[in-house]
Amino acid sequence: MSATGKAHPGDELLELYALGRLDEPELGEFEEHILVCELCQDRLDEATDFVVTMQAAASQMIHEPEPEPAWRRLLRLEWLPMPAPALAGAFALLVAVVAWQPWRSTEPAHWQTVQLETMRGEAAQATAPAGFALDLRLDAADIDAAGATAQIVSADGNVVADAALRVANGKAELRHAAGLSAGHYWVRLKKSGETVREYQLLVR
Amino acid sequence: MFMIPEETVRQPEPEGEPSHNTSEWTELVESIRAGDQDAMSRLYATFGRGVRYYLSRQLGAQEIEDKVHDTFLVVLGAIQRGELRDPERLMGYVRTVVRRLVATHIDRLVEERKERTDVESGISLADERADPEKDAERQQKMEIMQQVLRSISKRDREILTRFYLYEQTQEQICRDMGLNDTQFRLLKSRAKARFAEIGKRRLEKNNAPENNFLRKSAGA
Repeated sequence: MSATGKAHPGDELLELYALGRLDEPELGEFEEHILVCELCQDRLDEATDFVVTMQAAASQMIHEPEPEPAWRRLLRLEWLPMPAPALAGAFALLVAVVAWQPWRSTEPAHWQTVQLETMRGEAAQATAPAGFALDLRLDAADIDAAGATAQIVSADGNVVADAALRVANGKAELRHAAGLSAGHYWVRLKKSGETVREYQLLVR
Repeated sequence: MFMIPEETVRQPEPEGEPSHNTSEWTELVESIRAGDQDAMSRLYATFGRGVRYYLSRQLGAQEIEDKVHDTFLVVLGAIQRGELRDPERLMGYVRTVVRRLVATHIDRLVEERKERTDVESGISLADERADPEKDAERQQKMEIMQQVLRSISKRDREILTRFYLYEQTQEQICRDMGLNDTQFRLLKSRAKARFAEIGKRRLEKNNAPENNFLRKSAGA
């Protein structure tokens, strides 16, 4: 740079001046130029602005702890919404509650009462909804049903339920809380091991 | 870090040249000596802004017009008394006068503070009037710079910190960190470009006309 101010100083010189690190004779030449060059006055302002901001930012950042790598933060489980032991406890409690299922009542909330008749044909076929607890009322008016039991047998011959009957007013009552899946069933009224009556039941 | 040709790193020098040369100074000085009022006006027009800029940069804006006036009285007096033996060195002489004025002012300030502190211990005389707008501007700029620093590698951050904060020389940093000059300059220019880019983005986002500094940083 000439002392006559013919050439503008480069960015590095501006920066060194802004940092206060320019020595004579460059300092003299630079300041003489700045005294008469409006363009370089603006450039120097910008360079100074950058330097001062950089110093302030860097000064603040060196006191900050080094940011931890993402994988290490993940391992430390600090991203969890609560401390890890508390979260583990909450999870264990959740598993226990799900296994226990306290909301499941031993007695189904809705019982379906179905009348079973002995007559043959479509009209005699009783129907019941699938999955509901069933209160089956068996027509036993003309037999002595005292001490009898009842079986529910699926269409392929499997015994689904086998229970004692409650008899009152000519009706034998069989309660099956587990419900049945869709399909054809036979309800057999048994006494002393012998089937004394058989009813059809269609579950759908 | 990869190698980049020198010419791609160097910023282009600003175009346009100051219109003054040594023969102009000679003519100006001789005219003032001859009592030419117009020449005195030209002297003021030539150096007025620069002297004001230099003084306000060194001393702040307080009583700046008085100090500019004092500078010109000294320069004019020296020219008129024939004390400026080499008119071609007019710029250098103006600089000397301004620097002397700054030094005198600082000495006076230090003395005043010392006396005042003796009487009212612990009270600072610095002009520390709060300027919320400037504070907000500074804070915003610093956030941008921190964003820039966080976005670069630890090594690059160390290079910038060494240069700007710890005042290490380019040569020392390059030697310690195994860099060449081009790599060093490239890192600095990238940081500046990023600072300007983020500033520009924030400016567009905020669309705040008062954010002059961002417009300046962004080159808008």
